[in-house]
Amino acid sequence: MIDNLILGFQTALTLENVLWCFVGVLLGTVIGLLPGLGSTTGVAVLLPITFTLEPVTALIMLAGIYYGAQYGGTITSVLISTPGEAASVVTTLDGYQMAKRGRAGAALAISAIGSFIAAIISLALLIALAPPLADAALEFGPVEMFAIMILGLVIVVTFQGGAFIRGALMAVAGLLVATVGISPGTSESRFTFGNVNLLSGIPFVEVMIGLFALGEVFYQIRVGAAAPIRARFRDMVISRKDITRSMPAILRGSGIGFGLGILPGAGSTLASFMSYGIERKISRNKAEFGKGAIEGVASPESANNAAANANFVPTLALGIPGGATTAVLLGAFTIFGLQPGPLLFETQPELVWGLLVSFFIGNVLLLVLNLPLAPVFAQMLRIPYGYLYPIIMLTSLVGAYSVSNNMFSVWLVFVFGVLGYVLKEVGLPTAPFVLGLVLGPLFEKALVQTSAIGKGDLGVVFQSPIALTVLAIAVAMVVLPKLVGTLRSRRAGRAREKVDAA
Amino acid sequence: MKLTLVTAKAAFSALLAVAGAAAAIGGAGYGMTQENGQVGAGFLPVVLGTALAVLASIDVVQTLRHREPVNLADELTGVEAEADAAAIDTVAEAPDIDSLGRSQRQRNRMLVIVLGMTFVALLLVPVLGLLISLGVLVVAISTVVERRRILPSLLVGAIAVGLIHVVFAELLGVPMPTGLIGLI
Repeated sequence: MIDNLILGFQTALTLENVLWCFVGVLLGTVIGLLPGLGSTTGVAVLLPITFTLEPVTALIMLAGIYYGAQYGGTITSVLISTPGEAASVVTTLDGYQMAKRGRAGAALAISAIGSFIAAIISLALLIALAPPLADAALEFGPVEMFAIMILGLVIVVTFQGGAFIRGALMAVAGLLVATVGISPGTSESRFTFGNVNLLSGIPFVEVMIGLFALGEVFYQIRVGAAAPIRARFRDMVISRKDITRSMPAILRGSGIGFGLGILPGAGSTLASFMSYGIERKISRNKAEFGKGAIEGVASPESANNAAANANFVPTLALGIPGGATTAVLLGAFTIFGLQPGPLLFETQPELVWGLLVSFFIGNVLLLVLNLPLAPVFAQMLRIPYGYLYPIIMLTSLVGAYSVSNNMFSVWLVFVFGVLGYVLKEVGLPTAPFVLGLVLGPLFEKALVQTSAIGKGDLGVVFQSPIALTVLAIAVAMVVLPKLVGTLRSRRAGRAREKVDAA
Repeated sequence: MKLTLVTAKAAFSALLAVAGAAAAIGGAGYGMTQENGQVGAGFLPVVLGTALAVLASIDVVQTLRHREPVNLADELTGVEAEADAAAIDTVAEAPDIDSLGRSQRQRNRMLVIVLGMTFVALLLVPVLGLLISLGVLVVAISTVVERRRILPSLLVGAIAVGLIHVVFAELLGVPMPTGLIGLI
């Protein structure tokens, strides 16, 4: 472990890697705070820029964008009640109320401190947990991986924060879109309609840029602009009382965030909602929640940062993304010729440990940047959106072109941009679709291998105790909510009967 | 308005149901199993297409009936509903006008124009080249849709295209399509 950490520091602390880490977290903060851009969009749009870098440097920068955006997303949540990141949605509840009461600075400061503490705690847990999990996963065959992917899809569908059916249909749609191209089992081309561009499948980077960048821009045009609240430097001073009061919430948020973040498919958004909900139930100041309670900012912000780091546990150890952004990062790994999964720890220790240690460096940089400079970043909100979004469109479309030097990619981005907008309008979640699309090829490969092991009998899945346990958890996750709902309504019914009888 | 949204939701899900059914039928043509009994190229498309058709059809029915099924995250936190309620409150409180004084109708029109302009800009790439075509798009959106002054818009467009050219064409060596005019 110590040897690995030393190797990690040696890799991450080169001048080039620290510089790109800084560029990543800075860009991430800016991307996170701009309405219409999030970490998924940022990583997808800027991925082509990293093609000329060394894989470890590129991944350090892309990961920097990811957790930098968690910090930046808070600024818009607090100042204009418009989350730059889905994971910061719940921060609008108390963060914006604090800003309206002249405490925007304190909200931003506690968010930066909470995010930093959560990042360090979760990083220590990540470093402790990922390698043993990867070791255990070395024992997993295609059958077990097939079951884990089903669990990942079930988790993202169950936890995506909407109706189960709608999440499930989007996950299935993502998996179905992933079947376009050459079949891994038989090498036959499917649904290509004679178009050679489709032989290698629907390219996911273009889909991400379309769904998240253009789709979001189109949606923001229709929604319209909100006026920002000003944050001043002198407001950034946070009292010791605020910190003392927030500390339990930060620690609880970190724990909840990490616990949920390590589940394949569950992202930081769920972690932030869950930690806020729990904090509101157990806090001493529960009456203040929704009216500007500082714990209402500290808890979800810690949770989303802890989850962002924890998302790397399944991504690195199992090769299954924790959320939408780690799904894009997973794609980045494959573009650089790396296969995330248990073997990565053995074959690329320099890359894995360099990347993990860079999280620590990145979070220190983010605290230094965000604590005093949040009001400076907030000035970016003063750039008229009328200038900003055409530039976002320009960058997205040129970025898409540069992925494969092909206009087909540009048209694909436009088509998926329109689709992304429509999905937002009709309230269909994009995260399950993205996970389905990214997992699709891996899922089919595992399916084909499982079928080969069972000589055509897929029932072989039920002969593996690990796969069986994983599938049982997946079934429980589908059944549990309905059971909870039924029990609650029965209990409510009985209570009503008692009241009526009395 | 509410009826329109419900109809749109149901119509889109119906479209997904049709796409799923089409994928299942098309996928069957690739063969469900191979000669050795293992899964064939059509297995997954048929299973997923059928699942999509079924799930989307259920969603159409649920949408039209206005039934919202239980979600585990909501059950455990109870926050989602509050966030939704807060969002609804915000919508209810906020007038139809945004901070720049534009009505919903105006913003809808803006979106249609932006979509149309982007489509035309992409059609013009073989003539103007990618960067010039998208540069013209940036200026056109800023001036025509956003009603910004022409000079700042031109400046923003030129700087953006210049930076993108330096990063992508010069530093990364991406061969940009220069079109018939062959400039950049």
